[in-house]
Amino acid sequence: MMIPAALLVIMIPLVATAPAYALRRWQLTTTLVGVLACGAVIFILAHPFGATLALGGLTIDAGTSVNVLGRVLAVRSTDQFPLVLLFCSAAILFLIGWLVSEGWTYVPLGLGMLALLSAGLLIRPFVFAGLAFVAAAALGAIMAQADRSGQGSAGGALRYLVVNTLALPAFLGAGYIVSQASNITDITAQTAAYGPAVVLLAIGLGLLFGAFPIFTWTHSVAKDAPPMVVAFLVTVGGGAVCFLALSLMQDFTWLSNGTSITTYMKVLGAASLVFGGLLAWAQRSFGRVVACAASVEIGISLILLSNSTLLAVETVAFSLLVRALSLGTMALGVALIQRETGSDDFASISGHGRRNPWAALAIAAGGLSLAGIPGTAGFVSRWATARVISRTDMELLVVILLAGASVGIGVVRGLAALFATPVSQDEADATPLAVSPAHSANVRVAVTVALAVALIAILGIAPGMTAPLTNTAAQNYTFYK
Amino acid sequence: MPPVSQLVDLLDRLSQLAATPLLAALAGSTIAILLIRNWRVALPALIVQYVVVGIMLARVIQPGVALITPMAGALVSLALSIAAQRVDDQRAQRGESVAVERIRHVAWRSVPAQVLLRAIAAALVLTAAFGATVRFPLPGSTRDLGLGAYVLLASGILLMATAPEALNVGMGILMFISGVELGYTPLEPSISVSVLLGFMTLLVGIAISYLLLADGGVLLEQPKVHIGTIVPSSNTNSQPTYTIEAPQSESQ
Repeated sequence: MMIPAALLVIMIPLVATAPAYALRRWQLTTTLVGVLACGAVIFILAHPFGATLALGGLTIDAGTSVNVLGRVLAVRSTDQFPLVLLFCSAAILFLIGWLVSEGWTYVPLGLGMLALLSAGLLIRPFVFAGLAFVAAAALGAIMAQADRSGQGSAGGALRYLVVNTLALPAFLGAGYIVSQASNITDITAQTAAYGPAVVLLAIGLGLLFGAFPIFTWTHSVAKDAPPMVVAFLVTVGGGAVCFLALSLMQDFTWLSNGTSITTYMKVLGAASLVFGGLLAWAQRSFGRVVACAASVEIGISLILLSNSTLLAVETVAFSLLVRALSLGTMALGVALIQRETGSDDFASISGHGRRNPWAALAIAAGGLSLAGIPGTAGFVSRWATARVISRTDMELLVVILLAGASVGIGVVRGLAALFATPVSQDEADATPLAVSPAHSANVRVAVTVALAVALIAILGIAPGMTAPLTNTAAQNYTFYK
Repeated sequence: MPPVSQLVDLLDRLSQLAATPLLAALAGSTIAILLIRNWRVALPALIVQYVVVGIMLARVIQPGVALITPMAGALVSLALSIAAQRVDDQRAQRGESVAVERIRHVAWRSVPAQVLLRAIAAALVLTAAFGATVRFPLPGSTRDLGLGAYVLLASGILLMATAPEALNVGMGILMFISGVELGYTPLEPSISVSVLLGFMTLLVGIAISYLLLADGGVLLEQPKVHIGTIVPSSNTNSQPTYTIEAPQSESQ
């Protein structure tokens, strides 16, 4: 029996949401369900494109398309490795987050989001990608809310939903304009007719990224949502938008050959970068620092995408894995501190670094990797970014480095607060423990943090180990200038 | 409940109505949602709006396909009303005023200031929508469909931008999606578009219902496992040591 790979890529995470939800009380089990689902998709996609995969009586073919209501769902060669990267990032975040319960929504809805984002990347024509991404945002909003309750607690989740919904008409409008312009025979008139579509696509992608500095979701979500969920939305959601942009540039020569989209992306990217960089150093809570770091990461992704070179796309692919690891590790540390103190404000966490050194280590390693400090995976990502940007725009490179430094200052200020002497010694001595202090729990925290930190260091020293994946993902695109 | 075929026939007949009453109903329901932030008024207005959108869509696509929108809208409104009722129950337990009380005992002193501001904003938005219909007519749409789409899009954005409550922001999102549907469906009158938009409306509606419950304090906070309190041990060593004392309830 022949099964198209596209169907499995969507159905496996979708079906896995049920057991992940049913087993939500057992954090390790539900995490394993999530990781296994991601692993199964990666296993299917990792086979050479065009070759069929026989599993028992089933034959899985990546090249076969599925027709759903007249729309085509197919895994193209360009989609194969970006999807592997996306599912790898999700698996990393599920694994890192297994220690901290981020609500019943984290793994089940994370899988649901993965299914919808995959559908958005696989479906053609692309207007339906907009629908799939907004549907994924609806699940993302529930994830961002998690189990928290109370007046005003839904602000971040609502903002996430609103910003993503606003992108919908941009994609639908662009789709209509493209369909009309493709009927024009005169090349000059056709190029002019594509103009509004480029603007709409830039707006749509900018909104999905959360790149509009004034009306973005990153800060509201980072303020209200559990840290691991923020990491998931920024990494997996943002990664899917990156690959959607690349897929559009691959499909439409008028988009990749023109300079408009690259200009818009660069402007949006620079604005997000400056916004995040200006604010990061002065923040007074880890959640806010994470939000600024997310803005910087989004800005860098957009600037890289605007470069349309092989190295730029390879850097985008590598940065996705690094972001999952760095942001995930930092989020784990912040979540552990939040569970202990009920807050991540620098003023409220004085002295907790001494009591919870593993959380402090996770924040330090993840945060400094996000800042691009040498010896971490983030440094390699920044180095590759510098190689791309330095060819065209030295000023922007300086801004990127300064923005990274600003994030670093924000993290260091937070770490200083973690290790500061508490104002009241009695308060420090009698602080209630919100996490289990049992030895086994401490060992689990230590092992998880140590593994994550080791991975950040290993990727910082030997980034070539991901080269087969990131190289292939980049080389499958052919739109480069 | 009447069979679907009867509903399709009804929608088909209603779609042959003149455009003016439909637009009037759409504008009326929109104004009600914009002005009155009480779910017992706003949610029925939202259902009316979905029905009108369905009738307007039935003028450009098959009535059977157009039926998806009001059905999805009705389901979403039902979910929202259940969530809003639960939030009201919770508020009543806390001794706060609930929607039905605010209808019975209108605070006339505070109403004019709030409603006047919203009315001015609504008037501006509806005027802008009318202007946009004339100046930037939507491709493929008749003028009435274009006006309906602009009214919903503009009012949706206004609600999303100004309403502080989760329910009203959510209704803004749903109105915005209805506007998109009204504007886009004439361009691609296919069943797949309607089905996918209906599916998306349902998902967004579920998300808003969940957020409404959370905002109203109905979802329970995950209880933290408080196993004890760290206190200094009384020993004579120079190195400080700590022990964990169980809470009173556990030790008793």
